[in-house]
Amino acid sequence: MEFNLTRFGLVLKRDLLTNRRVYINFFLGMFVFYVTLGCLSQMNFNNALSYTGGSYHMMVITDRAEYTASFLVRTAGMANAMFFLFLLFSVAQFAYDLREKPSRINALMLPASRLEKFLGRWLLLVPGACLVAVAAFACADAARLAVQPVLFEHTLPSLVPEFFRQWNFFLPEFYVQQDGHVLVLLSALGSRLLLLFVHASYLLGGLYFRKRGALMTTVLYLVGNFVFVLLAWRIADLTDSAEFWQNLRPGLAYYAVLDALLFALTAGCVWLSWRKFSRMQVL
Amino acid sequence: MIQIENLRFGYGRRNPVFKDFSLALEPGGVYGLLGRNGTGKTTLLYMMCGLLRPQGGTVRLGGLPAAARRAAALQDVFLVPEEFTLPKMPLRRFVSLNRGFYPRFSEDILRQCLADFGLSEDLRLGQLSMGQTKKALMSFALATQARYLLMDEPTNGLDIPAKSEFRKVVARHMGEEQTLVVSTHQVRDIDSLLDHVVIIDGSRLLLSKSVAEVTAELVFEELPAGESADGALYAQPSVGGHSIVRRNKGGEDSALNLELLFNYVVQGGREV
Repeated sequence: MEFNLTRFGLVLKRDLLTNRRVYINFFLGMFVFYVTLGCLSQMNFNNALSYTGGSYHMMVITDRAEYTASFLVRTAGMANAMFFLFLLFSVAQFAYDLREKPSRINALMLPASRLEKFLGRWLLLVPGACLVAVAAFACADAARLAVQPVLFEHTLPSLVPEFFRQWNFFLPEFYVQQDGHVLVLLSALGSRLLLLFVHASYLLGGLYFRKRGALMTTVLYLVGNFVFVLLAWRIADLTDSAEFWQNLRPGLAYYAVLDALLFALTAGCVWLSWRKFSRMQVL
Repeated sequence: MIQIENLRFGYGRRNPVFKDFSLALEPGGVYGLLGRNGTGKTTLLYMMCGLLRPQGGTVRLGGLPAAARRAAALQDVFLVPEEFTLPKMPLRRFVSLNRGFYPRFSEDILRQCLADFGLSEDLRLGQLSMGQTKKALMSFALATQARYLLMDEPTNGLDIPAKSEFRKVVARHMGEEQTLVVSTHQVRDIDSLLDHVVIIDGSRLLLSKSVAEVTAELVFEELPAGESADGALYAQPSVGGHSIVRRNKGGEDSALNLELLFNYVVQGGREV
């Protein structure tokens, strides 16, 4: 496969500057969301669910330190959830600009290899969008800290350290610290592979649906999950229900097969995306 | 060289456009690609630059398979499509972002072409009329000095003075090594430019000859009303008489009348 680093740099620069409005809109959208989240979330963190006596109870947090910790964990959690949804949306825009013939001609006729074009797009829409979202989050947090004393009577610390601390979830050490058992590691690997698979499937959806990549992929996911749940219930109905669920208790083989399946599905999505992109025609 | 061999292509199984179609375009010169509506001129241009993949046969551009869209092949071909978009940015930025992809890009040619078209170098793409945008793109195309320039209806959207400017710009800035393929219905806009005429009708290549060969074989004449058109291969009414095509038996000189030649070949259904 052809790959020239200098030309790849030109492709990146061209794509970035040609689509700079898209990245500015990404930034502004995420900034507004994060400022709103940071401000609104301060209103309701003196309540928390407590699990006692076999059921949940709403409890009022009166301790200032607990309130602050609750605010940080929950708000940064929501910010991170939005961050990952945004990354899915972003990668689903992979071929958004190729939905019309003139734009396809511009892209396909650019004198660079298909690999350079594919990789350039991916870099800008995944690590690039990741940077945009993190920058928007940091700026939104700074804005919240600036307006907080005026809008609210209290002050709360920056969300940025907690936002990144929650990323520890992705580090293998996190699981090793929890439990060094191989089952836990396999399930941890599975959770990462699941994220990669979702990412790859949104990439594929973006290439197949172009204009409504994120929406159509999400709809397909919902339909697929619905069918899967229906099938699972149907199978459970056909067998002894209690026995079925008991046998389904995950073991080592279950996680190993699941991980292998997720890996194969992820690789399949990436390969199909590459094939779709590299064989794209003008009509 | 653009080499098309046994090309097969269609939009769906029931709508074949090319079936066992072959054509070879030698390097250098201006080729006029003519044909009726829907006979596959644009499709053929797309095939030449790899924007469409043949369903059978091969299309080679400078020896490389066009459909592979290799960087080395793409830097030697520039397509000016009939419909196109340019990013909304100053022309200078557009040039600085794209010139690096074309190793022979010439700022001088770009400047001269823009000047010939009456355009400033400080223009902003996105704030121009369709004709001005087309002139800017054609200037960029010529400045790339790509070996193969493909233009689909280049004079559509150009005003009357701009059509003659187009001819002048192409004649002035085309290098001897460069090949320009122009697909158009506006035959009068390009007839003085052409070195070679290609007329297609779907799977059939009706004509592929140099202008010199055509005018050595045929004479294009205007006859006043009442004068006999006997011996003409083809005649059509014109203002004040007839336009005719006849065999050139005595080595006569006549200017190519592209519209008449096209009608003779297509309507007369003869392969020259």
